[in-house]
Amino acid sequence: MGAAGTFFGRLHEQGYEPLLKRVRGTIELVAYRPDGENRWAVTIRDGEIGLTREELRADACMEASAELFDALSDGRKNTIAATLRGDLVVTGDLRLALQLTRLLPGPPHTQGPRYVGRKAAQEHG
Amino acid sequence: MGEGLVRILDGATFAVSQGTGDIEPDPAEPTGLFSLDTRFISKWVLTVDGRRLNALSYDAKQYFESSFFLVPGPHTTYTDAQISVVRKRSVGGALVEELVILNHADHAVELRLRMDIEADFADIFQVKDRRIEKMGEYYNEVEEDGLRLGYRRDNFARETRITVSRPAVFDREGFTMRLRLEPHAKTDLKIHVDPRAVMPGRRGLRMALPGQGRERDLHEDLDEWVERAPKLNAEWGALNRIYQRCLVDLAALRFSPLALGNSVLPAAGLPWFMTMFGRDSIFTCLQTLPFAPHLSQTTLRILAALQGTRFDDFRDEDPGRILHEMRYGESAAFEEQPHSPYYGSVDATPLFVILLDEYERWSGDSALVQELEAPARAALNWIEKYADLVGDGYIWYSSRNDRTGLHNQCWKDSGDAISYRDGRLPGFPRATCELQGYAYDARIRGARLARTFWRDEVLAHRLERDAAELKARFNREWWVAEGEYYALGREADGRQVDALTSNIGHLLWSGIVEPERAGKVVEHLLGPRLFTGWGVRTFASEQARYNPVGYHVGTVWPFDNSFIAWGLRRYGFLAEAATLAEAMLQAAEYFEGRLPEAFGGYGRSLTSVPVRYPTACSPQAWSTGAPLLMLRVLLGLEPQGDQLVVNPAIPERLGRMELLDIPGRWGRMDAFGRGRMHPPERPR
Repeated sequence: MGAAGTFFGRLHEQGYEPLLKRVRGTIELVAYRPDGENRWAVTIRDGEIGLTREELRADACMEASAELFDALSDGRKNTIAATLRGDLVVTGDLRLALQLTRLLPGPPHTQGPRYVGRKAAQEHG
Repeated sequence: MGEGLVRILDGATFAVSQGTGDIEPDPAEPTGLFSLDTRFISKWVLTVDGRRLNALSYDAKQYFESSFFLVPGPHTTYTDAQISVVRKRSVGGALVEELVILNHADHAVELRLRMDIEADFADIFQVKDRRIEKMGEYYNEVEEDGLRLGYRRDNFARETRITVSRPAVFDREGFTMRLRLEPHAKTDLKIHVDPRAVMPGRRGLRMALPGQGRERDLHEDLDEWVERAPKLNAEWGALNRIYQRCLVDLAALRFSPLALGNSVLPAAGLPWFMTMFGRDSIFTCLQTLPFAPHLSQTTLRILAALQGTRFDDFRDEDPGRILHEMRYGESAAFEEQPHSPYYGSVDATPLFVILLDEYERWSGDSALVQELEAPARAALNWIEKYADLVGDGYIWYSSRNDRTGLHNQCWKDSGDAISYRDGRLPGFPRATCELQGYAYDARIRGARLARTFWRDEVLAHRLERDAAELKARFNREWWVAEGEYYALGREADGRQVDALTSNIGHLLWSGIVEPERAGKVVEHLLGPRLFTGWGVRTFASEQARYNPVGYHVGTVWPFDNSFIAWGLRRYGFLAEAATLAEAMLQAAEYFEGRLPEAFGGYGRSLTSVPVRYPTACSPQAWSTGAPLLMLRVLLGLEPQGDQLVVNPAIPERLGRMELLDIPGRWGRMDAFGRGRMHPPERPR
C-alpha cells in the first residue's frame, strides 16, 4: 500500500474532519498505473468522511498517476502546482476538490516558523 | 509606463499594444496578449501590400475595447491615403479583433492583407526580469481554418488558437488574404485569438468552467455594474469624473479565480499584478464596502478556501495563514516561484478578520460570519501562535524561503523599505508597527464576532484581554520618546527601528494609539517632513534613505493615504482628514481620475503637479479604491446598529455632494454633505 492508501485509509478511520464541517460532496479519484487504473470515491457530509469503491455520482474528479497520488499524500508534491502543470487533472467542482486537498500534509522536511529567543526555547525545549 | 501604449483588460486577461494596434517588443513595458500570467501573443503585426500601417488616432473606449484608425505608408504630415483601416479590438475570455477596410478611391483596388503572429508563452516573471528561457518545446499547427501555436513542457501545455471569419491562407507565422474592394466600398473581417491551458486529452482549462465558455456581454455587464453602485452628484465636477473612472476601473480589475466559477474579486493591478493578492484584495474591499459590498463577500470566501492548513517552508505556509499571492504561470507550476499560492505576508491574516467584521457591520450578512467561523478562528490563532516568532506578544516575519521568498512581508515590501533613521537595515525576524495595529484591531473585531455570532464569551474575553495588553505594551515599547512618534519597527532584541514613516497613520486607523498621543502623531503626518501637499509620504524627509522617488522610501501612495484619512477621522481629526482627502482628490484630477500606485514625494510648492512615478502600476486596485474611501471619509459614513450614520466634514472648496442609494443592512440610503470645513491650522 502506497502513501495514498495510508493517507486515505487514515482519513476513513478518522471518520470526521472539522476542517470540512461545512463541506458536502463526492470526489472521485482515479489513479493510473501501468497495469490499469484504481478508482475510488471520497464522500464528505458535513465533515463526515467516507471512502468507497462504489461508483457514485461525483461532483468533482481528480485524475493522476498513482505515483503522483502517493507524492501528494505524503507532502512531497503540492496539489495546486501539480494542477497547474497538468500532472493532476481536476474537473467538476474545483472548490470542493480544493477543500479535500487542504487535508494533505506539508513537505516532509519542512521546519515551520523560525522562532527565536524565548519562543524557540519554549517550542523546542 | 510606456507612453503611447494601449492597454485593454478584463480580469486576468489583458492586451498591451502600440498605438497602431500592433504588438512588438517595447523597451518600456511588456507588450502582448496575456492571460493567467502567460503571454499568449508576443507579435501581432498587420501589413497591407507589405506596408505597415500608421495610426491617425486611437480610442480606448472602454477598459475592454479600443479602436485604431490607420492608413498605410510612412508617417508624414500630409496623408492622402487611398484606403484606411479601422481596427477594433476587445478582450473577454478571448481577444477579438475586427478589421474594417475602406476604399476611398473611385476605382476598384486589390489588396494583400497580412498578419504576422508569434507566441512566446513567456511567464510574466520572465517578462518582468527580461529573461525568457524556455525549458519546453514550441509547436504550431496550420489548420484549414486557423493556426494553433503551442508550448509544451511535460504535461504543461498552453495554446493560442487563431481563426478568421473569412477565407485566409494560414502558415506557421500568420495568415494572408487577398481582398478586392469596389470603388468607395468597404469590407470587414473578424479575428479570434483564443488563449487556453490545455489539459492532457481534454478541453482548455477555461472551457471546463461552468459559465466561462459563453462570452459575457461586456457592455451589458459594465452597465449593470455601474447601475448597481451608488450615484454621486458633486458640485465639484472633477469629483464626478473621478468617481466614474474608479467604478469603471474597479470593474476592469474584477477577476475570477479558477477555483470559484464566476465569483469575482479585485485583481491587484496592471500589468504585473493581474492576479489574486490577499493584502491588496482585502484593502480594496475595505475601501469599496459602501459602493460594491459583494466584492468583500467573494474575497472573504476565496481567501478562506485557500487559507493555509500545514507548514510548508517553500510557500511560507502555516495553518490559518491567509495567502499573499496566487499565480497560474509556468514558474508557479514548476515551483521555480512559490506562488501556488505563496503565503509570505503578515498583514493579510489579521486584515481578513478585520474585513469580515467590517463587512458584517455594513451588510448585516451574519450568515457569512457563521460560514467563515472556522477560518476566522484559525486566523486569530495564527496571529497568537505562529506569527509571534519571538514570544513577546507581537507579530513578526522572517521568510523560510531564502531563495524566492519575500524578505519584507508587510505592505512596504521592497528591500530597503524597513530601515533605521540612519539607514541601517534591521536583522530578522522583523516586526513593523502597523502590523501590531492590525493584530490589535483583529482581536477587538474578532471579540465582537465571537460574542455576537459564535456565542463564545470565553474567546471574546480572551481576545479583549490580549488586545488591551498589546495596546499597553505597544504604547510603552514602540514610542520613540525623542521624536514623539511610533517607531517603524522592532528587532528581536527589543531595539526600536526608529524611522519616521507613514505607517504611524495606519495605527490611527487600527485604534491602537493612546488618545493623548494622537495629536503628536497627527502633527507628524501633516507636518512638513511627511506631508507633501498632495499626500503623506511613505518615509519622512531628513532621514538617510529618504528619496522622493524611492518606491517605499519617499513616494506618496494613494491607498496608504486613504487609510490614514480614515484613521484621522476615527480619532476625531475631521479637518485634517478632509485636508488629506481633498489633496488626494486634487491629485486624482491631475491623473484624469486614475490614481497610480504611487507618485513622487516632492513638495507641492516645488512641482505644482503630482509627479508620476516611473514604473507605477495603473490601474491598480487599491489606488482605484482610494478616492472611494476618501468619499466615505468626507461624508463620514459609519454603520451604527442597523443605521447608516452620515456626518460630513467636507472642505469648503469641494462644495456640495450627495451620494445616493448606498447599499447596506438598511437597504439603500442617501448621504448629503456641504463643504463647510476650513483647512486646519498647520502644525509648526
